[in-house]
Amino acid sequence: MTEKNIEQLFKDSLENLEAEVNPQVWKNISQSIQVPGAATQFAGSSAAVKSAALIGMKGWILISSLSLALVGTAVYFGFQKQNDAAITTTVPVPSPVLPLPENKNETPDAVNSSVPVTGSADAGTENRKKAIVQDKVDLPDGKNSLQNVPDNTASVPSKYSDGNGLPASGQPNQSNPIPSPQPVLSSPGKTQAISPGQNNAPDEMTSDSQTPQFDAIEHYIVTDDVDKPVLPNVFTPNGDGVNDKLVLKTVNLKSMEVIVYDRKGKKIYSWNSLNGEWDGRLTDGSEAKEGSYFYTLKAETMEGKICIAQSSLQLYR
Amino acid sequence: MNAAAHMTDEEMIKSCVSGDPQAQKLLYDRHSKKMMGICLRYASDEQEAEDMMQEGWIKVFNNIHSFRFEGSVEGWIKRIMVNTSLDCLRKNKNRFNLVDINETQETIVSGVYSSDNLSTKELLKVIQQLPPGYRSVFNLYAIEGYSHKEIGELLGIHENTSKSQYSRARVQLQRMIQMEFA
Repeated sequence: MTEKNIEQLFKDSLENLEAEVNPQVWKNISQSIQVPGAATQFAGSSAAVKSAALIGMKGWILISSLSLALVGTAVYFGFQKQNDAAITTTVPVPSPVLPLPENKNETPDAVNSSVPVTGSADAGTENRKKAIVQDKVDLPDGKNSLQNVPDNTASVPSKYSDGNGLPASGQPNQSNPIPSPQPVLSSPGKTQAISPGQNNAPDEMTSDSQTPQFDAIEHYIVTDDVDKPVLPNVFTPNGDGVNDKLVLKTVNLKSMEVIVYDRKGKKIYSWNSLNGEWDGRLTDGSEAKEGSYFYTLKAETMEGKICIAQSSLQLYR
Repeated sequence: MNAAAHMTDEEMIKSCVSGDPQAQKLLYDRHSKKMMGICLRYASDEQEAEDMMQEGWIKVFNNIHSFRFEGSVEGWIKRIMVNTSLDCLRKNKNRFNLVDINETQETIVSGVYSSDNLSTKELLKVIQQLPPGYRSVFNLYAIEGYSHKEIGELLGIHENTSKSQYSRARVQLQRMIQMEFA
């Protein structure tokens, strides 16, 4: 078959295209691969410890322990919920039956027995306290026991913060007002990371005004511009007579050393004179490919001052 | 080579999860040529393809513990490569996103070509000359076999945008082939 659609044409020849890979690519990859095994196990630690530990963890650990992080998040929000309840008492009482992630196998009996009767909202605070007491008794799993959390009031919402907990509405007490954990669940990672920091912020900001200022300013004074060579960042060695060579025009310099690197950081060309230039060819005479390069230059002025500069460089043909 | 060379992909993945550098290299060697082929299709030149390779494989090894052994290893790596390539194009789009509008206004020419005189290398060159947006959509639809809906979700564009980009890409490819090789 020699005639076909353009899609077919490309698909047939390019779908299983294989190509040799520059060995440098593997070198770069192998240098960048993370060393595994650094992940920390959280199982069994208390919610308070979890939330503290998570502050400094990297994003991927946050993701992998998302379900655990929810517990910690709720601790924070628990304070707020509790405060709200204290003021208005119209906050619906969370049903404490919702099992923690590790606790899904808990028997329905244990679950039901800890459900307070929460038909009306104004009985909220009272029922919440009941629930706490019963939780302590009913939860058989030491891991989930609330005793790890120092403050009882804070621990209550941690039960309903679990996203898996919603099926509890399928239990006999469907009329329970289900508290709305959605705001908590929608961005657990963010909230987790930010909330402890916010508490600390005011303390840290107080020491800022002591930075020494006069020394810092002196560093930014720009010296004589004339010393600085013009740093071109593009040239087109295609033989059309325009911009065919990389030339650095200099004034007031005694010597200059320029090194050109490719994007992998390999040194590909250099010169050590004031009137040096690069015609876009490698040392073996072949043409350098189009693309990005970098160069550094080290120059000495007539006054004996050493200047160092660098620039990226685009090569187009 | 030793017995490690005869490991299946799955065994290699397990070794890679535990951080065995030899297994990592084997996995790379086994799939790198094909993945380079994919990157070349999405890139506008070899250097960009190498960048995509590099970033893609780093992602592969850093996320290798999340491979679920449900589907082929190659398919999984390939998906990562395609996604990474698209990311790279998105990042670089300010540099190369020049489309001459006049070139896209041509009417569709007859869609039948002789493949005898078109080598893979030439076709690759043609596809690399497409603007990145067209190139992505054409690759995803014609070669990877995604639907326009999936492409829309992948690239964050509307399904119909994908369709129109695709048909323009097609027109431009036809023109380029005719100009270069007719």
